[in-house]
Amino acid sequence: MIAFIIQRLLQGAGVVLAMSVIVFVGVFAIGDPVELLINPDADQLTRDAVAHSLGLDQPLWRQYLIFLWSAVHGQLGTSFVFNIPAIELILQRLPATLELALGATLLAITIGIPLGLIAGLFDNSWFSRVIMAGSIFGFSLPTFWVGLILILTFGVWLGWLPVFGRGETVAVFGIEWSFLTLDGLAHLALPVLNLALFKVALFIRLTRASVREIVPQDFVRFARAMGIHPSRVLTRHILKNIMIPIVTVIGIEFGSVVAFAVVTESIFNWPGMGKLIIESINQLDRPVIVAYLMVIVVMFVFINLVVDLLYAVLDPRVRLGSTSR
Amino acid sequence: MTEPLNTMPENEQPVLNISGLSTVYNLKIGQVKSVTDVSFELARGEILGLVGESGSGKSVTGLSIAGLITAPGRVVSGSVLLHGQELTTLSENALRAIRGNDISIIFQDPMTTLNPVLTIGQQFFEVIHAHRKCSYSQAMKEAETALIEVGIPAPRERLDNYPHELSGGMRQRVCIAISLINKPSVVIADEPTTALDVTIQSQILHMMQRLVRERDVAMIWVTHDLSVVAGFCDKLAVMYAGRIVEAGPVQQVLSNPAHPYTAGLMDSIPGDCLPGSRLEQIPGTQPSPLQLPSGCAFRTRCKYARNECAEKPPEVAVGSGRTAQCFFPLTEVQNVRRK
Ligand SMILES: Nc1ncnc2c1ncn2[C@@H]1O[C@H](COP(=O)(O)OP(=O)(O)O)[C@@H](O)[C@H]1O
Ligand SMILES: [Mg+2]
Repeated sequence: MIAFIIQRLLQGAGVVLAMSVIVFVGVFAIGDPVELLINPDADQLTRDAVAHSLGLDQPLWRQYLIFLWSAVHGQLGTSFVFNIPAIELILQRLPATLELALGATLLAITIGIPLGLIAGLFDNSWFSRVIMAGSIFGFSLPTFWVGLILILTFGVWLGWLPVFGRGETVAVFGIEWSFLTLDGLAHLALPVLNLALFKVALFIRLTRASVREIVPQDFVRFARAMGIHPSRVLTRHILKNIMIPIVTVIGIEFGSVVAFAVVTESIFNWPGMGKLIIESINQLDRPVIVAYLMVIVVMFVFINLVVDLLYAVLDPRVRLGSTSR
Repeated sequence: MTEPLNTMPENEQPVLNISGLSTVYNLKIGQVKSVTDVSFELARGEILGLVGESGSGKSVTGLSIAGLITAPGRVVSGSVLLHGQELTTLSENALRAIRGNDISIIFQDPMTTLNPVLTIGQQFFEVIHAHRKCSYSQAMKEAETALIEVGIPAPRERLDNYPHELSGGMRQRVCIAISLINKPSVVIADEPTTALDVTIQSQILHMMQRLVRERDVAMIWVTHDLSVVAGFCDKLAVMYAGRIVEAGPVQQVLSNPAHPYTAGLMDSIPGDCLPGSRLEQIPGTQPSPLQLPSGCAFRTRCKYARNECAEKPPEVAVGSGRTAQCFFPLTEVQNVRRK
């Protein structure tokens, strides 16, 4: 167990290192931030001075080594634009995105899994067909369009919910949270719904498929043949088996919401990481882009580790540390 | 109608009394008559061998008795009396209380019958807890005893194992122990040894025989293998295309089969053949269950068939407690010549 975690952490470190090279070179290739940062009329001397102050006059490999050296010391560079440490900038925005991602994932689980169960257990009934037809919409409607429709419907026509920003926040341990105030919750509602829609559809389909796979199996028939109550067969025998694929997808989906909440955050003007990264790309704020991507990579490595550990908890056939997986 | 098979003491009421049981599957392509007009009786401690080719309706018979037929299948007629109580009209909940408690089933494939994510102990607990109030530790005590009875060494450790940690033979022993844990009076064993290799097969066979005798359980032993029933069962019922075509005490049926299908099955057992002589095979294949021949379903493959066989064959008594559904049951003379 401990050996497995250490092994995975080392592997993760390798992934992070490899990603850092790719990200660094990739971002370097996008363009020269000096052009964007200074007055186009400035002379060469000013340019050189700016480039030198930002460390951009160094060769790429040296820039990378400097980056690596400071990364080891917890510094991922200083934002060209805001002139504060990039990592600080990102961590400031992280709670807002986490709030969205957690909300969307929770909503998707609490709606998607029960509906998927119903659709899987009562496969031929009309309500199962309605659920499945509904899930096709969730899958195929583009997020930005749904976001706009939500704004139009609930924000503009009905005027029920705010569509801009985080609303009132409360600080807990120095971090601002929206979900602890009523106003903040109202602000959360639409973006969370927007982000959750696709995932609700995904969980419906995933749960249904898993149920349909498990129900005809012999051990479910045996449980019924032994007179175990249907509700118990569901919770103890079916659910426990379908949680194995579902947990994996929850992990991946949570990661992807955090990483790619960009569209929703832009539409609802949500001051999260997604919005920050879009702004930073526009301004070629290299340290922020690099730091953001590194944070995302670390997050995915961490999520994968947690999913693997949960896997081993849920499925006794999985052995931690075996290299065959 | 069907005459009961009389191998039980006169005064004793049969534990299980099946009469006229018919089950169909309504599929889009048509109606499959999986089980038609099946009748038999079973007394305490008695073992009935239910034999027939695969697809003949043996499993569906077992499931119908336990009330486990699900859509698109349906029990269309007949009665199942357990201790004189009619089961076919019971509510699902009342049936559930009987299943796993008074009637138990053992399935064919031990590799898939146990839940992969629950320990053996938990699976025992599930089945005990479904029928009576019982603490987990009390259930584990019972489970341990049950595992010893089915010949599993170090039972306490096994209780903490998951199914994948046990061998196939071990798992089938566990399944048997689980299905017997609530002391049922009827056990339906649906080819429980088919998936196992031969040595383990015979071990399990002997163990089952001992348990059934010790506990006075009535058992239906479903198999497609006529060679195992001889020393093991009391009675034999031979199924073909959903019907019991011949039934009776096992020795008499085997030594002197009345239905040509039974004779055909026996001739195709390799072990009973004289060395060097040709292994007989029943010609042709089973008819499609969607389009059974009129009258006797076996007539298309039967070398004794005549025109009359297109009518529904009568059920004739061919000896004490023996019946055959045939116009022209084989005589002893014919059987001697057959060999
Ligand atoms: N769930 C089902 N759906 C449709 N047909 C079925 C189903 N179960 C059994 N049958 C049909 O019923 C007949 C008898 O099957 P079964 O009792 O399983 O045979 P066996 O004697 O091999 O146990 C077969 O023709 C089979 O196709
Ligand atoms: Mg079968």
